[in-house]
Amino acid sequence: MNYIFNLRAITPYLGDLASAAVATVTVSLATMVLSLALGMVFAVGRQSRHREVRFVATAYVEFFRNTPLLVVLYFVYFMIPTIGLRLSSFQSALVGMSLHAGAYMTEILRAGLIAVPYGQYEAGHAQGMSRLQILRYVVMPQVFRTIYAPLGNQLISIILASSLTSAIAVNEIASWMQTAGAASFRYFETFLVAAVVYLVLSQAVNLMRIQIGRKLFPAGQ
Amino acid sequence: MALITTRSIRAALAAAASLLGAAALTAPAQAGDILQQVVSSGTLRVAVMGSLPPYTNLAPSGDLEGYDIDVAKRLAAALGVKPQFVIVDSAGRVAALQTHKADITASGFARNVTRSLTIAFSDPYLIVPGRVVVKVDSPLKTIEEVNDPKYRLSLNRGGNSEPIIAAKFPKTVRNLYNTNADCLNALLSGQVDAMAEDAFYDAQEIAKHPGQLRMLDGEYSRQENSIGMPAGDADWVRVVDLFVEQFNASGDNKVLFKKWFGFDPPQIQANF
Repeated sequence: MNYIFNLRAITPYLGDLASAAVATVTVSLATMVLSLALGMVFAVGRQSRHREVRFVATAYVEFFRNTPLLVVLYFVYFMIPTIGLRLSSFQSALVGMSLHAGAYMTEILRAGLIAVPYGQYEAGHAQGMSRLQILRYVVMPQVFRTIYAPLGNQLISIILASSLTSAIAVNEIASWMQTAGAASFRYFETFLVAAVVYLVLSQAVNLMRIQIGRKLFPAGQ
Repeated sequence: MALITTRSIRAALAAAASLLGAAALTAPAQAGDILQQVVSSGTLRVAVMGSLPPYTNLAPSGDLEGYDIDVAKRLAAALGVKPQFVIVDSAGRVAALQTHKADITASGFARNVTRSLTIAFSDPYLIVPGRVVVKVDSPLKTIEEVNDPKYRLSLNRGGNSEPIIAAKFPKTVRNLYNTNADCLNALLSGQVDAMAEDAFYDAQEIAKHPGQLRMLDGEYSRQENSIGMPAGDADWVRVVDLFVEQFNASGDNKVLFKKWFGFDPPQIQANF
């Protein structure tokens, strides 16, 4: 007998899928915001005049770019409690994913920073602006315009990477896919549905990014 | 500009369509007589998990060993064929049968009616009680006390225990992990207060962590471990069932169990 593909067999599990999708979206959006903030700090740190600051920022980037996210998640979730600080599954996921994605954000933002000509800094100085003011009003707006496209890749990879957080007991989409698959023994159906949900979420974020980009950076300006 | 949006939606739809196509292809075309194929090829293809000691384990030598491995070897010997092991994960055991990449699976495989809608199960060859483990300093005494929102319980995602625990202890916070080892790590690191697992796994880990863990009084389930087979070949199920019946009745099973677990197995017949 051939395997009979039957999507209807997994309808009893779709209620749990909705809450799993909410968990995926929540942890992904929070990671996007936190990792972007981390990226800005460390990207500026990597351009610092002070050697020590540059060293710390580079060490951070190299450490998290060269370790698998799964290992980072395990470390935060299972190891940190042994020194007395217990983070919940969600908190651990957020910390691990933000540290990991932050390293990539740093490199993306650094590329944007390098693209800003030095003359812009000098011009800011000549206007009597402080370092922070130059960053805020002169440099960062140009950085974001430069990095806006590569940022899209990173946002999507955050959504997809969130599937690893099921390993530390976050009940997101990948967790649903395994649980519903094992309960019904209909892994093909649940895996397919999960893939489609990830695809829709990733595309939704991408479309939103494009729409916001049009508002922020109107063509021809 | 609106073009980009339409284009990306169209691309997404195309990707989804290609996924659907790929999934449809995974349903096998071959609808053969499995028994015939096993006998004529002289090999029994067995899907097992690589790491589920003492049921299955990949030894440093690269050979598979364990209680379930021995069960599969006995079945192959009884059929007069050679066993060929395929290492898979929990989901892969089922998929391997559904796509006819394996003739049986024997790997801590629990049977129930929902699951039997897509694959076939033999009669049980091992009854596994579900028990709850806590750290020695835990205030918990019996498994009923776990049913309280202030307690967090670790259990295997997709395991047989999950729906049973959800029904029996609905108030407990259930944390799901991918492997037994992660469930145990969660307990040891204080991420959860208790762990719901196969009693034989529990006993093994309690012995490995002297003075750290203990079992709560009471059982929450009676899991029937069986040999899994692809659905649709009644002749194949007939032969495997006969093997299981004689393997149980002859006492071979008991000897094999004692070899791997160190004590006698629970009675297979249900006690009402």
